[in-house]
Amino acid sequence: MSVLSHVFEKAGLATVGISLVRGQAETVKPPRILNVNFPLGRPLGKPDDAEFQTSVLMAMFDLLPRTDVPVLVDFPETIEEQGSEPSSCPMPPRHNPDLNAAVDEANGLRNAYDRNLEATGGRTLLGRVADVDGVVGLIEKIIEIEGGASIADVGWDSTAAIAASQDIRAYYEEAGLQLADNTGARQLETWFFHQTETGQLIRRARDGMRERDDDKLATTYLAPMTQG
Amino acid sequence: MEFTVPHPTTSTHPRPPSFAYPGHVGGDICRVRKRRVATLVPANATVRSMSADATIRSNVTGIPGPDLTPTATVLDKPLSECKVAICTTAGLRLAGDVKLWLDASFTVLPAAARDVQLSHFSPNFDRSGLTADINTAYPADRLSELAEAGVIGSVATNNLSFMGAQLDATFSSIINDSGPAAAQVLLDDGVDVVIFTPV
Repeated sequence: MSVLSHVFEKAGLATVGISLVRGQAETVKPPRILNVNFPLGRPLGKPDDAEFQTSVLMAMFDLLPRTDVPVLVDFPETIEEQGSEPSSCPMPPRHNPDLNAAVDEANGLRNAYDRNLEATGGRTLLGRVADVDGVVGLIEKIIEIEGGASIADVGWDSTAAIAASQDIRAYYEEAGLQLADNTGARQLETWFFHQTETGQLIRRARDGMRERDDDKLATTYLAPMTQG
Repeated sequence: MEFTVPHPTTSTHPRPPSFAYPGHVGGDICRVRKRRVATLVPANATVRSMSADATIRSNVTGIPGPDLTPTATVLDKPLSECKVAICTTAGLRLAGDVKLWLDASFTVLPAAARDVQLSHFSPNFDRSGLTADINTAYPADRLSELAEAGVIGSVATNNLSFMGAQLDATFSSIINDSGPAAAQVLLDDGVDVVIFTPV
């Protein structure tokens, strides 16, 4: 992003950007940057808070007249991520004990996912390699990988494996938005990777891939690096 | 509409735990600084002494970038007369066109479209905020409101989306190919101001 701003200014466009990592902006020195101490993934700070988001935009626009570049200004408010406190999501009871626990769990979250889909007017982050009806199929492949299969064995390449993990996570986090009151930054992430059967399954699969020296790109990005 | 550019120097592999960046690459404006070697946090760490965001910020701070001299385009009219575009590096794509992409290409998002989805390959940032409200990273509604209020002149016809966290440490494709091509898309639309939003 910082590199792009150099290119755009050189082409004759006035630019101003948000930085979520101050040190990175200091290295690349984009012409005009508003550094925000907000959670990674939330550059405008607060979801569903138009007033706050607009205040961030106005702070950006305030930098446009500046020609003493590079200019880096800190936004005065700090918002911390809350990943150490996972979301509290009441989970549906086990429905079919004959199924793998992760598959049964995913089936049980379908109503919550559908409610969220309705609440967002149909917008979902699911859909990289599967739609909602394909989520269980993705989980079943992760189960195979946990059991020792390689990602190639289940028909995936690096990006397909990463995309599958992200689709599963999107399904859970979108369901979680309907189940939890505490959905600050990274709270649903921690809930998914540490408190759900499927999230823990993905972490075990990743750990097995690492031990077997399976595809390094997929191993690196199957789960967040900070979710051990 | 998608613009794909060649990226001969783009690695298709993750950076290993210790990654020595090249000291010099081709191109007349691109030079990579020789800086300390970036060290990744052990991937199997189970206990963290600081927050996930702090860990990642610490991790990426100090990674060298191209040594570019900042220049400033001076606006010749007030903001209330400017056409404004968003360029996000969240890796957003239109629904139905979702895929992970790892290169320096970009995609065009019609400004009126709200059915945009996250295609960024990295799992290392919060996604729930963007899931709940797309404006958390892509403030298209906020810009429209500012246009209606007369704070900005107008919103651009199209916004742009790149994938951030580029694996090519030289950024040569962005500097020489996709970056100028993206700027031209906006210039052709009469855009004056671009706001960048990362994730």
